[in-house]
Amino acid sequence: MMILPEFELLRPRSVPEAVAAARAARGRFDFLGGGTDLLCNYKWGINVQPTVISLRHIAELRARTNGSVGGGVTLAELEGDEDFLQDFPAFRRTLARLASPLIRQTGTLAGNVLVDTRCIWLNQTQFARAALGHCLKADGPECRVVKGSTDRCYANYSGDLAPVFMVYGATVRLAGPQGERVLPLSAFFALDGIRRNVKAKDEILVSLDLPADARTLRASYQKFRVREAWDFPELAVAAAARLDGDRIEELHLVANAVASIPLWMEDLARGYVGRTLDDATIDAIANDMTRAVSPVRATLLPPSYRKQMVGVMTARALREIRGDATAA
Amino acid sequence: MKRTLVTLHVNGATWEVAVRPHDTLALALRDGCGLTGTKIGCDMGTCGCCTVLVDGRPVLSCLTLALEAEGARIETIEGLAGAERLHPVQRAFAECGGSQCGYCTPGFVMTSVALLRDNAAPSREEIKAAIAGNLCRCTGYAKIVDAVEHAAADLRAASTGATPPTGGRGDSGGDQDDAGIHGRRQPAAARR
Amino acid sequence: MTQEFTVVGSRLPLVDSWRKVTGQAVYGDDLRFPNTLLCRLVRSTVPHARIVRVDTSRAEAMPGVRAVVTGKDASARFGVLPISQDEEALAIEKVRYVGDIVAAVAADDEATAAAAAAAVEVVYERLPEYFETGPGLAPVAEPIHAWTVDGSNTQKRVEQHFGDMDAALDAAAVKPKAHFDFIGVGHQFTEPHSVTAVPEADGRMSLYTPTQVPHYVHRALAKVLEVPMHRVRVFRTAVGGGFGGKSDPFPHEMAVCLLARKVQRPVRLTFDREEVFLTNRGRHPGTYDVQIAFDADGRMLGLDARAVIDGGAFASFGVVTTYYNGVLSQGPYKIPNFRYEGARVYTNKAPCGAMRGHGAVNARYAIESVIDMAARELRRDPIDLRLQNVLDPYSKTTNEFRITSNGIRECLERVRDESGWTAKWGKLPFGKGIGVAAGFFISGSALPIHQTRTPQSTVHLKIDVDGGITAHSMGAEIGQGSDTVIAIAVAEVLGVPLDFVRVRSEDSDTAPLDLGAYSSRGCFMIGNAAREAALVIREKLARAAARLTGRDASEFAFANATLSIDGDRPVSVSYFEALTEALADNGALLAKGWYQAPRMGGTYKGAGAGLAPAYSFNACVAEVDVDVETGLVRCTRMTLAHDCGRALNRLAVEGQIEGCMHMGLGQALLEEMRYERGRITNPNLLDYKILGPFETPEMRVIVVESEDREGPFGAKEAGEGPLIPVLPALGNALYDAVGYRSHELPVRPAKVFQHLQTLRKGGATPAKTWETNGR
Repeated sequence: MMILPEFELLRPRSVPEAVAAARAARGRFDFLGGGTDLLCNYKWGINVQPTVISLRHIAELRARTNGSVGGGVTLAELEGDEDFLQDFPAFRRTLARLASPLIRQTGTLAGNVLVDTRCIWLNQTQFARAALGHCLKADGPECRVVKGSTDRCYANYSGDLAPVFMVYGATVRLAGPQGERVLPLSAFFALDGIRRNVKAKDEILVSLDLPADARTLRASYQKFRVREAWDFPELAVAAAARLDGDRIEELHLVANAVASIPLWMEDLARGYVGRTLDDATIDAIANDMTRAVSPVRATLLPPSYRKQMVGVMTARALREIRGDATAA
Repeated sequence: MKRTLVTLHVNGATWEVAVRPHDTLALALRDGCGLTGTKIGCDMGTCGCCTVLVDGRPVLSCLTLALEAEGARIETIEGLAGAERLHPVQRAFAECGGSQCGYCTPGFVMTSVALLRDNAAPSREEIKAAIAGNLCRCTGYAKIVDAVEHAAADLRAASTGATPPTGGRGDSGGDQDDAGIHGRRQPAAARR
Repeated sequence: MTQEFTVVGSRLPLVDSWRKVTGQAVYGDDLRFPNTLLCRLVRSTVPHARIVRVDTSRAEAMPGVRAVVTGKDASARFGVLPISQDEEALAIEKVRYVGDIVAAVAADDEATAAAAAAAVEVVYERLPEYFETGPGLAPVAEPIHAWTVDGSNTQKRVEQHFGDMDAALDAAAVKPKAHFDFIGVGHQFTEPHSVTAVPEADGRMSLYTPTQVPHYVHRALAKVLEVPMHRVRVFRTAVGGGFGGKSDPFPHEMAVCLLARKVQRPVRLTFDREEVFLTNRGRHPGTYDVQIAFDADGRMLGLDARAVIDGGAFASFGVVTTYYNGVLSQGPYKIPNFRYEGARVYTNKAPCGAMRGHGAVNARYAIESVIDMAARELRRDPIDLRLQNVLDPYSKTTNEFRITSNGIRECLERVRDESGWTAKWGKLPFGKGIGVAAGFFISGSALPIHQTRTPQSTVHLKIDVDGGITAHSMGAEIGQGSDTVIAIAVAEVLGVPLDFVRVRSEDSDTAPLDLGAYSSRGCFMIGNAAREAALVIREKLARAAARLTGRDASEFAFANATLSIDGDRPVSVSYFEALTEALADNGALLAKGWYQAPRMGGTYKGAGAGLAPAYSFNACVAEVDVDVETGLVRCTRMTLAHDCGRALNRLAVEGQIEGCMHMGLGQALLEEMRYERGRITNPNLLDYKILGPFETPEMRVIVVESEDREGPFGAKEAGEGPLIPVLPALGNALYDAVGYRSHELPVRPAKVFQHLQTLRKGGATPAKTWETNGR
């Protein structure tokens, strides 16, 4: 049996109560959503904290209204929300093939967006990490993937939902000691495998909010991994576009699971606005996307292959947006 | 670390179990309630052997804290059978060959029971999608899917001709080859 | 054919499945004994080192810690094979891999035991580390074990030569050859190992363990505890999957007994998943080089093979594996000339052992791939070429295996006809492919591991006034259905419903000896023993019925719990009437049946390896769909025909075959134990990728019944053989789809992608140009 380390469990009933509990814990705590990420890390003895603050009993976090999804909404609830899926169809298959049906029962939106970065050197038992040698992210002096890196962790971002919300133009609402703030999800992530994003430790992800005009975007999420269930993405591409006939009016792209954060390809995408979404354009965007990513050996498949697959997945996403019969 | 008493409603009974904050529901059920039918296979949420129903939803009890299940209605494999007979899903897993070594069986059965409450006539693809979080190393899943299909048919038949519950899609037509599949039924006494 | 059965051949739920669907089955970790301590192990974090010091003082001083044992507490070595007893309960002088057990702690609860295990201080003096087989073939600075070949790390070498291989190669019209690399894979049954040692009040030691081989555990425990065997009791709990991964006596089983003896309290140890990987005994990684000679007419002239297998740190079944890589290559075809060299090399990694299809799986992938290459060179349909060369029923192989019933021909013909082969092979569009392979496997090893004259299987039956029949056997039910085989055999012979029979196959105190669940021996050997025992009871009941009716005992037929004679003067005696008469002045009916394989085989060195009282045969057709943009390979459909002699329980036979397809495909496509300088880097079920329901293809099972003359009711094995052709069928289908021959397993999508890129650069639209040009 895996042994969970000892911790104190707090179960606040409201967001302010949770924020207060977090402040009182002075940084030595973790928030608990569904538990499917955090408790695995704890069983592995990775960055265990003495206090765990459960967010499962806060009604506000479970709200779902009109393009706004609470951080505590489970993936299964979202998967069963036919109105939401009608409005934002790219989520349908993304949710249906996210982790496993059992993980989705308890896993939450915030849990997936904030999912800890993963790495073959990190996601191991204490025994294995002792035998393999510790890494920068947990108890070690140096990154094992990029030798010599003592200040940046290269563990892989593996959430599936954030990239889709990003290309739909979502904003993220955070609540903390200073009150609430809202920022574009595309500006939420910060390139480092340990820090991962701009959320302060004692802030809570209250919701992701989709703008009204997101409903008129056409979006696609193309995930690459070897099994349909369980597996985290080896890489993925999210794309959304507004088309006027076959002319690109608006384009958003994310290369996912090839770095420590989902990569928001703003400049790359903007360069194609005004172009016709034909095969040549799709090839050009796919090539640009391939060139733009530099995955490292933190997952199962070889980095060079994952890099090439980014182009393939980009092309598939764009073809789906164009209305081709689904390629995969 | 100090234990606190948590009230768990399991299979219609109320248990007061002394747990520590970091004890999982799986541990509380197995060691606290003595319900060892719920298995631990990987202890990391992958294999699904530990699946139990919490307020009707299939949940990985190895990644659920016991304290977080306080007050919830919990169902385990031990609670499915009626006084006289097995739950149709249990019976189908035995009769269709859906259980070999049996270690994953309680988890698969609980997942399947939850599925059939939502969807009285799932297609084979829907069944696969529902059981995709449970791992079986013995069967190759084929006979598990058979079992769920047959249990669904049994449950529909048992609801005495009434229209299937919402989500039903009419008869799946999955009963071909009926002659053999059920084999000999064990007399009730043999399965208590 | 003409024989009528009432129970045999039906579709029956496994007799133990009722316990399993209700949660009543008691697996290793479900046992609760009063006053039990929990155990955690201290495992080596280095691959190869001399143990300078193990300091347990800090651990022993911790509150709640009751005992700690180390290598000092047991000196006897053990192992599953008498010829390679190289394992220690706890490492004595050296550690040999990351995971080797150095100390064991018993404490009041698991967390305390874990904390104490962490507090055990081990000082190592590092030694040269060996992770590859290559360097280990020659002398090395620090051999992993003292008894290797000439100061190398080679544990075992095998050389066999029949006929004249060089002449066969000279005479050949085509003689394709290839080199193959195989990664190690593991059983990964869902139940982690979990054992409880109970020191009995009378001084005996009971061990409760989910084992496939209670008898070998029994022997090893007596040896390590240095007590006579009768002072040890082995109780097999329900086994949550084995596949060969629970078929060794294990160091942890010894360690908990040492703790229990020391502290005189029950001690329980349950592994976490990583420890299952560290304990391993999975399929050997290795290389296989093979060349096959054919004449211009497609007749197989000879097979030349060389295997180097990576044993990991201990011997386990490795000597057998080294032989099987060669000897199980001598069918299912007529191979007049044959040469094989095999070597098993120790490395500082988790020990390999026996896994479903033991020793035959990787070799078969190589051979069937090369036959596929030959078919293309010869411009022959691969099924047709195989059919031309298959062994005949009741014949002999060149190395003197006695072939009995053999349905290989029917297997190949039926997978051809029922998969739509003829319309598909070479004719599917680019990216889609179909492939075939054949295989065979032993139906029980004819020679026991310990060469005694004690029968390999014995079954006892007891019937008392209630009429129920209790069968005692030490045959290890591991989900494969051996308890059900016993029940079927008894019910069939005595003409009673299946639920009259209850099987007790757990306790070494009450069960007669059986060697356990390995080498696919259960159905054949236990089935025969059970049938023999039932025939003894049948005779007793028939004589009782004869006394009641004045008729001849030999005339009675047994069915529907009735003994009857048809014809002019029909009589009928109920089972209970006959039983009551048989019990009178006699008491409970007792009977014994046993099975011992007949003497067979040649007299050359190693002639015993691979001998079996019967062989199963099979053929598989796989269909694949390659994502030509990514190189991902998906198996969409699989058709497998398996000759199991006779299906005692059709449902169970199908289940075994489907399980084989699933597990075989897993190794072909995804499964691998990945190492980084001797450390397993994917020891969990997320990163070790077992196929889920979406990756499992539509599976079509064809049961072929060749009715073996010596098998129980004609039956042979079905639990392992069907896995063997699955992998090469997939590999050959992949070649048919995109012209890529995978010389390694699992198939690497990155390499398939690379191949596809090359094809695209070479020309415009990829077409199946490889159809006729061979390779």
